Amino acid sequence: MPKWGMVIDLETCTGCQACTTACAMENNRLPGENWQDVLFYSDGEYPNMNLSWLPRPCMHCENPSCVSVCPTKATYKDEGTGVVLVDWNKCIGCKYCMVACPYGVRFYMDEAPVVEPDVKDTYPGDGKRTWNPPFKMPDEYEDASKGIGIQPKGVVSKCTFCYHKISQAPEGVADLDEDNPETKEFTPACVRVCAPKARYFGDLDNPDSKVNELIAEKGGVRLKEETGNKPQVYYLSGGGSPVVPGKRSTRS
Amino acid sequence: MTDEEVQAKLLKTPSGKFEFRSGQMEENADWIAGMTGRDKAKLMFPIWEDPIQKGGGDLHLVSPKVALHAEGRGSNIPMVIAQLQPTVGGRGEAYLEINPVTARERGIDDGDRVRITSDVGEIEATCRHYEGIRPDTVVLPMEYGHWRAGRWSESVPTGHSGECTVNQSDRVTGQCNYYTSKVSVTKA
Repeated sequence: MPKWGMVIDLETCTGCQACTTACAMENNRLPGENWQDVLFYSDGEYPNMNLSWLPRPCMHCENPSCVSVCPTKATYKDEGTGVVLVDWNKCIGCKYCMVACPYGVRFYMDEAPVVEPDVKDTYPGDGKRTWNPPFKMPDEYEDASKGIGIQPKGVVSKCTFCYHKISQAPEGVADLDEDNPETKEFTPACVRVCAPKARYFGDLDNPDSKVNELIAEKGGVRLKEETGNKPQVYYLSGGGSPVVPGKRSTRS
Repeated sequence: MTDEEVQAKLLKTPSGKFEFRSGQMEENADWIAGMTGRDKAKLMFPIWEDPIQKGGGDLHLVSPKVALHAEGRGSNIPMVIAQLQPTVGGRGEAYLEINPVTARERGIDDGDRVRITSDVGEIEATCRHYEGIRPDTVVLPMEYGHWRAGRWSESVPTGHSGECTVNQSDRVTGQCNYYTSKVSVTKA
């Protein structure tokens, strides 16, 4: 069984937010519900100012703190893929997982909308879904038990690594690469649209995968190792340049 | 390379460098000089002319696109508005980016509401101190807050930059030249 993981090359990333947009379109997210986000940091004074950025999906940790704290076992680690999912049928919206997550990748969207007027009022939902956008993934992709599709009211949502795509991938494949016609359709949206190809997606348990090669050859690092969460998302920073934002940087 | 080798490889012009001279401009020099008042003797060469900065204020207002800008239609797409100006934290709102030194001189704090005024108009916006901007310049992303682009655009609590920029065309080529103007910025 694969253990899917992602590698993000910070030296190649241009901060264009194509990943953020593609994710929102693929997964029908609300404005501001950025399962995949790009965070910007600034450091220094004019004219010696440094702007850096960090694309941030869910880390799909090996040892996820969100899973440990969930009182209803709604959040769980999927056995077959190594992906962290939320069962919306069990989630009670207590937001404990949002507090526990060190990476801020979980969303509860039943509060003040990021953009007024609220699109949930413009495209009202039907009970099962909180809203009915004019664009929507096919109904058969939606699966509330895995947190895929448009959420009902009062639940927490998060990145699924595009579970509806990767779970259909051919068995035993090492990498899901958008440039390979055989795996293109099973590649997560953020990886598939990345124009400078700063993202790679593959099986961390497969010694022949491109992601493992990159992690080994280019020194992949995981964020906040001190938490012991062991993310399955690795960042490449080129070794020399401090492209991972420093502690002195101010988050925009 | 020796001096001779360098000489042999130079361009075949009298100066050995690139030389530009427009035959078309020369042919029509009388007419152009008559219409524009420029020096007939220099017309056919590339010439430098001081830019004309309209607007009347003391700061340059620049109204750029941001990463998610594609066309003007983006100003009414909630998804785009939600992450339009990430470098200064603009989510749901377009901020006026101002150098902290410039801002403090005017008594403007980070996050203050400011008034941007030029000869042609006046708008309000929330400002963000940002070290990545020149002290003589302020930046306000274009198109957000337009009064007629749609319900989401209208509700962005930022004035539309176009209200402050002077409508002028480039005086040589006639190209669009209305994205900047001189403005003054005060606390609202």
